[in-house]
Amino acid sequence: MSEAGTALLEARGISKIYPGVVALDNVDFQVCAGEVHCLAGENGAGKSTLIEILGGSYPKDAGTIRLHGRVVELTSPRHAHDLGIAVLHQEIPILSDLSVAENIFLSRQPRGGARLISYAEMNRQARRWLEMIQVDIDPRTPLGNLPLSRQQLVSIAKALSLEARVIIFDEPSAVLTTAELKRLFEIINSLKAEGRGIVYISHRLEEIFEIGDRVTVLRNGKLVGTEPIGRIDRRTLIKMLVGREIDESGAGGGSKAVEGLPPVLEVRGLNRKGVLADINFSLHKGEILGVYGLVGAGRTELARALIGADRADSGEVWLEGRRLRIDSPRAAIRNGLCLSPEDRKTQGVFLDKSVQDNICLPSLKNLKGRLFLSYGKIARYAADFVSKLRIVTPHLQQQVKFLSGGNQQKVVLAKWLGMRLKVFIFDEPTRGIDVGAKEEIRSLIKALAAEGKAVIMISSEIPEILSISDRVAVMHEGRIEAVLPRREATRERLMGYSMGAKSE
Amino acid sequence: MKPKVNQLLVDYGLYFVLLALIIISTILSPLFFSYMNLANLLTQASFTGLLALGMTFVILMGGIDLSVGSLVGFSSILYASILHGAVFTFMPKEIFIYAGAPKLTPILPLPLDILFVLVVGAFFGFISGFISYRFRIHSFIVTLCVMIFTRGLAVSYTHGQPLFGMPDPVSFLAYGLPAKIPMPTIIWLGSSLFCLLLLRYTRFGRGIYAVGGGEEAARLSGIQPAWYRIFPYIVSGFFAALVGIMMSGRMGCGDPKIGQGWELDAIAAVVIGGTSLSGGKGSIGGTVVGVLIMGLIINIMNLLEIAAYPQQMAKGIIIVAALALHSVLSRRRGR
Amino acid sequence: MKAKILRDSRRGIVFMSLSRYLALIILVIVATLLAPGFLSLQNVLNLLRSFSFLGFISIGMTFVILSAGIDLSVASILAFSGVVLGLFQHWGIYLGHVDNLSLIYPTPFIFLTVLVIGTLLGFLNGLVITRLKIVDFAVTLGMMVFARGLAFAISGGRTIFGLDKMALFVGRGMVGSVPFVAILWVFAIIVCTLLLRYTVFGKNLYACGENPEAARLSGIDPVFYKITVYSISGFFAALAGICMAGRLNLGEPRVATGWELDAIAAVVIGGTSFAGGRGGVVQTILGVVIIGLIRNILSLLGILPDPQEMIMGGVLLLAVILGSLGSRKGSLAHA
Repeated sequence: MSEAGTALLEARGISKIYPGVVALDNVDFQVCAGEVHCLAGENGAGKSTLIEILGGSYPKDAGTIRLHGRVVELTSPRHAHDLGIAVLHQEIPILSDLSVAENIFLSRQPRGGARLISYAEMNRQARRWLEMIQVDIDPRTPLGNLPLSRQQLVSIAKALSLEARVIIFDEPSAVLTTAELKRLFEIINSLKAEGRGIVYISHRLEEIFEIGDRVTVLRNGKLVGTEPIGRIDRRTLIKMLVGREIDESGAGGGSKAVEGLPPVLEVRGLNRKGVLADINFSLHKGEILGVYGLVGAGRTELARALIGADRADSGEVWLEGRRLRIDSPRAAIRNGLCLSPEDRKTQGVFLDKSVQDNICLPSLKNLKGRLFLSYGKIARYAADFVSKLRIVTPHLQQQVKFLSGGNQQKVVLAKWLGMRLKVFIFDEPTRGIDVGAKEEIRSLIKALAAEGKAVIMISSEIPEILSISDRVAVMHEGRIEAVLPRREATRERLMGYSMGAKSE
Repeated sequence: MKPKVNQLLVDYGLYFVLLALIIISTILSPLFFSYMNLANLLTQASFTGLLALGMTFVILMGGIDLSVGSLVGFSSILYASILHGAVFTFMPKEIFIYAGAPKLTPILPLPLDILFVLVVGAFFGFISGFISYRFRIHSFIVTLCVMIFTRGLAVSYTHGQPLFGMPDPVSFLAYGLPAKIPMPTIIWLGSSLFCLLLLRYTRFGRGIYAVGGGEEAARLSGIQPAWYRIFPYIVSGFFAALVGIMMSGRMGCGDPKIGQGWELDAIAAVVIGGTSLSGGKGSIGGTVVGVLIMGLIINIMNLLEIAAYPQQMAKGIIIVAALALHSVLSRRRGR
Repeated sequence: MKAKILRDSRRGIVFMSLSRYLALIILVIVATLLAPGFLSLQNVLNLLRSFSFLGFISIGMTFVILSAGIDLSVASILAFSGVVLGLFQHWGIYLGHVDNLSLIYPTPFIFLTVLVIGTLLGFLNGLVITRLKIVDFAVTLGMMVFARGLAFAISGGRTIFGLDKMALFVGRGMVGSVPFVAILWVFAIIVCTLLLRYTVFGKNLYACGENPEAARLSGIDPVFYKITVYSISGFFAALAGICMAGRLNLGEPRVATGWELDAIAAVVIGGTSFAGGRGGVVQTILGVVIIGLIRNILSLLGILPDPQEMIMGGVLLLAVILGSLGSRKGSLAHA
């Protein structure tokens, strides 16, 4: 029990086993009234599984859950709602065509005369819950018309309307701007003051230290430890998360003086309404330009605009002194730019196709015999990259869906390597990959730069950015706030700019 | 396009179109507002309207039901053959050539006959919905198969011939004029009102919007999608059977060939009315207006003496045009 | 866990392949029992000829389904093409002569024109689907109705009798003892298989079918491939239309009703998945043969057209259900 109050939710010995994978192994976790209990861990550590179980989405294989001291078996999310547990998911599934109020009261709509739904009453109640968190939204607005951050606020109102005593936030900051994050923390603090128990999942250490009272770390499905925030520092937390100390000073990182190198890419005045504002920067041969920012800052949008996946409203892109007209990824690739997308599984690879097919797809026109494709050449080309990048796969025909995240990322990389491209854009290349594989990917990227390619690397992890970049661009709400040479890039400055500090 | 004008168009565009069509009809034929003409128009529209009601449910769920036209013909035959005591046998060709009106030997008392056919129609709908849901196959292919199957079944059963002899109460269903309003119209509007209340003011109805609009979100709120996914097809089959019975009354016989192409009219009406093919968006009210618009368009085409096949062509174009229009308008709203 | 999934999916695929060949063998046995001369060279060649009409549109349908689409208009474009061929060879109809051949210009150019028109109709399908962002089945449903209606409209609903020698040769002619259409079909199969398996175009097509967004980011233009496959489908429909008109020696708007269903059935039975990205033309041949054999056997059993339709509806449904059992995504997701 924590000092804050009685234990609202107590989970002991929770285990969950999937065929071949132990997702959770004997994990204890509890939430007390009036506290914010952070849950941390790398991807695959078991955080999501734990809250799915606590939220009633999946059954547990072992362990007990106690609510207010009484043992309960959660059979469905609805059951969990009825018991006062609400999970606010990372990707909020919503009904975009239905109104805010309808989404809040789905399947619980208040009824009036003749057991017919009373819209007046529903809207009235919705307004009440929204006001409780000081949110001014017309409950009749279709939910799909609101931006993601406001949709999230609506889901909080929904949790309140369920009179949830335990509210679990799953990586909420992903869709919020700085100001919105601040507002969220205010709301969480007031919920805390009301005696509710809050679970807050995040991999952003800054957030954990700011909002949390306690933190529980999971690693590989096991409980590493639970500590009060006051008794632990950043270094210790990282050690708990990763199992070893990581050098964050980034001394091993790129530290080339970039000024002497010829510029390969120049971007001027790139604009996209609501998303990108007046982007200007240049990229040099052999340079790794890190791009940091909170999610929502516009980094992926920038990458997509450069690659032609989304149309920019205005702006110029110059490659080696020549103005480019990029209106599709096809055009971008022809000019020497390529993208490794943020969503690797659904945009970066073809899950049902083989390793060979994935690697060779963009280069097929070079793998022909006299008239037709030569499968011999295709196999050799693919095998070459599989060995160069050390992709772990039983054979070339293996479908990519069976590869681990790290190997899938290598396949994405392999796809572009043989194509004589000049500019490589990586959007969160190490997300969702285990630590060892992350290092491998980073070395591959550094090797690219060493060969003279120009690299843009988007990442949410400051240590990663610092360890790999020659310069760091920080984005905030669609603008590039600053571009710093590595030696001037400190954690504080990066975080500052990402949250809106202006450069002098 | 300026947002305000765009919004006006979206909210009231249908009514503008309806008004415009009425004006055009009046210009083409001064007799438009005569009782005869209006009654006729409404009666025709009512049959499409009933099919369109079921179709609205189905399309709200993100599916489509191509089998309704065939089910009309099938129900018509089923009903007629029950009335003649011959349900479960495929009779030889000779018996269907009647001289004079045959004696009615119904298997069940009259209201039960009707009920039986309605249940069978609903059952066919259930089969379509169940197969779509259980095997995760898109409903257009499932209902396409059901359409071919039931049409084949109906025509084979009667060797293509109609079955004559309908009892009076059923004729009333088709021809009656309580308070000078055609009976089919009363049935249509009454059913529409019921469906409207169901979809808008009951939790079950809102559940249909939810499952159609985003099954994941619906599940998280505790809705079990199975029945919601199957129910629309049951409704669709039910209304198709109802129309089949009414058509039998209207024609005085059961006809296996009736209803060909009627599914298109129903789809056109629903689509014009603003219900989105991807599900979760639309309304009965829109469908009702869509039915009236389709009815007027067909009426105008008849007045212009456009032949049957060009009319079919026009329907194809209308469906695609309505879809395109709604697609463009909803994109402009920035969704 | 991954190893087990691997084993299961491989097992599933092998099972499905085996059951197809098993079905083929059973059908051949049944057919031979019904008609002792079934496996004679003469009969096999005849069968090849009658399979080839379905075969052509099935090739086009394979391309479309590979791209995760569907083309309901193939049969209508087939009929329309036959009518246009007839009209261009009886151009005098518009001047009052009937029955005498009057070619608008030499036959080879007429063939070319018809093929171009069919391809253009397919192109139109693809254009509307991609530019107006309307879902495939709705657009091709509209085109199906439109093209059939157009065929009736320009022919006045009449059959146009009598085509010239070249058209007759295409449809009925033999090269040695092999029907010309069969040779044409085999040629088309070879070309298309090479296209799909051994060209950049083919690989890109599979990629677009499986995941259009990933394809786009890899430098492929999914819009181009979508429009191209529908154009190809239109082309083959027109080709089939020319051949069939030649075979029957007439242009008739009523031909091939319901053939789109047979084509879909052939492709699905052959193993090409509705979800896109998997399958191929060679697999479809198996499906065409199976469907053709089923129809053949039904005819040998003396079953009339309407009951045949009924049975085919059931067969397609069964094929689609079996096909979706193996697939991860189900068939086109939605109910």
